[in-house]
Amino acid sequence: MKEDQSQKPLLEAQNIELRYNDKPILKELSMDILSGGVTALLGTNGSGKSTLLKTMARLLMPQKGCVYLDGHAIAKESPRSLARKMAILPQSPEVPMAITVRELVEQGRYPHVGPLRMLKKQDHAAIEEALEVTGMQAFEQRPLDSLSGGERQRAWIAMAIAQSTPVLMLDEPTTFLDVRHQLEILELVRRLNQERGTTIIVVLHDLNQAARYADRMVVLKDGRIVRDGTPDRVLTEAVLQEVFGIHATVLKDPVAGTPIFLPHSVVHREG
Amino acid sequence: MKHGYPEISWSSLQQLLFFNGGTELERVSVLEIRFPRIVLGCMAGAMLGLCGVLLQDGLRNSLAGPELLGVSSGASFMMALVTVLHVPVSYGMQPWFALLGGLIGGAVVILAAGGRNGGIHIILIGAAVTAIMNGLVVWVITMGSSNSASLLFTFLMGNLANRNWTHVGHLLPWALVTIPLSLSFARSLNVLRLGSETAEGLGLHFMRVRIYLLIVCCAMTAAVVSQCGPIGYIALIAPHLIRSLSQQYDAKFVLPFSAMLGAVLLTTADILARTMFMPREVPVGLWTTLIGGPVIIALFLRKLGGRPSE
Ligand SMILES: Nc1ncnc2c1ncn2[C@@H]1O[C@H](COP(=O)(O)OP(=O)(O)OP(=O)(O)O)[C@@H](O)[C@H]1O
Ligand SMILES: [Mg+2]
Repeated sequence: MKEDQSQKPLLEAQNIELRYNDKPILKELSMDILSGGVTALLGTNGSGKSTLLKTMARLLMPQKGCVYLDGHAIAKESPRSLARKMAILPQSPEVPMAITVRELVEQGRYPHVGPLRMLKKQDHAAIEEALEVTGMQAFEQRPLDSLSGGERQRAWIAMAIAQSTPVLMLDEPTTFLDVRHQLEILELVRRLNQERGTTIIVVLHDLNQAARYADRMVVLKDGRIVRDGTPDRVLTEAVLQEVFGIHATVLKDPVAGTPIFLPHSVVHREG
Repeated sequence: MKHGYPEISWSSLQQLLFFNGGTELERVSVLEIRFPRIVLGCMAGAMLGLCGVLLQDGLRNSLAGPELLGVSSGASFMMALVTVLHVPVSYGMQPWFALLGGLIGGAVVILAAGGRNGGIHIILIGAAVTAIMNGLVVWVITMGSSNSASLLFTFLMGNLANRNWTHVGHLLPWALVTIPLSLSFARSLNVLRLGSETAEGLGLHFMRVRIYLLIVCCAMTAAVVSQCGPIGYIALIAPHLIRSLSQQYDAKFVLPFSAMLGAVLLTTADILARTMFMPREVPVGLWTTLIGGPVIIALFLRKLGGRPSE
């Protein structure tokens, strides 16, 4: 889903600088997200992926720079109106005590109903639909802490889907899942993108999966964007060596046609 | 209402309440002494129960309680000053001073904790402020005469004795405002249970909700303390009992039921306080503390045994 270049970005990070106790984590970072794509954020542990995602969702305030959504600075927007436009699923959300899947998914409607009003018809419809697309209907009365890692992850995703936002950000939604459940989540992501036109930003660690399911790969290193482009341009032997520190061969996936890599060995730096 | 001296039978109680019957002594002791006491206990208990839920869920700490807001100790300190220094205020004015002291104590804690992120900060600051104020209370007592010290002692214990319709009238407006306000936090509390990060992502203004919540709790506690003195443990126990009996954590459920249980617990404790060692009365605040402490320990032991960790 490549959009034409003249289109204005939906989400725009401009010269973001973010420090934790004076330690710079994001350095003069700028990124544009066009409407309707799937963007994968990649990088080694600690490269700043989660920090960038949270900054774009206003869970963190940058010391410098600004994030714009639809041309408006998100720092000036009310949390509730922002939460109607974008949903974020943090990397490892806390599991509250004794909450059922349905109750969890219901919380996704909070930005729409607010603290006082009752859930309306469209809220219940959104909840049902979120449970359905994630295949969580059979689990709706189960307590969250009684589910397997994959089921739990899908419940959280269902909550974010129930939020019915044009932008959805997911931080490592496939971590801790077996291969089948990883693919299920990624296919769900693609379906949301294709059927609803949801703009998706997703942090992933599996480069092959990212190449397969994302339109665009953005690679971070030490708080800077070092590569940004289509999977063909980003998943190269040079990037794997320089950014991820491995020797690898890049092939073409015989079925999907996307690049795919086979790791060989770790790069040992001289000296 | 029937228990205590004079012991009144059910039938004459009925007579008395609905048909203006009964002897003069019975009428006075029921309508003017026991009835307002029960109403006051219900209101105060409900407010304390709500306060417990708001603080525990809002600060995400199962040990949070109004004792740690600096409100009780602020009120105690103010009362100590008034009593010991013989500030010329009429007896009727004293609750207002307690209220003022409570609100000041609470405000100090909220302001000092403002801007901090973890609920743990507020609790630490609250504990520190409480400790300082309690120290000051002791200091003030040592300066006063033994007469005023014992006067003060009756306040510091938390008591529903000698309360009449005037006290009920003082607490009622606070209850009418703060109880519905507390219940209106239910959905926000549920979102907060998902953690501050997820809650913000869902559009909850975390810091703002927390400040509102603390203000409502301060108002409730200060109002209760000003009329009944500091009554411990109701706020801590009512929500925990409701949660562990029902296995429900949904604030829409826990809030109203904790209010009811708080009311029941406090009035029951007060009836015990009134009748157990008749004709002497044990201050109800002492009762709730004596019984509340062990109950809380039992609840936590059970929880630790039942669940690997929270
Ligand atoms: N609350 C915090 N306080 C201080 N430093 C932090 C904090 N959160 C993250 N950092 C630091 O910021 C850097 C980037 O963290 P971030 O979580 O964005 O990395 P990441 O790319 O998401 O890594 P991972 O793949 O492990 O999730 C790390 O060095 C981390 O130690
Ligand atoms: Mg991360």
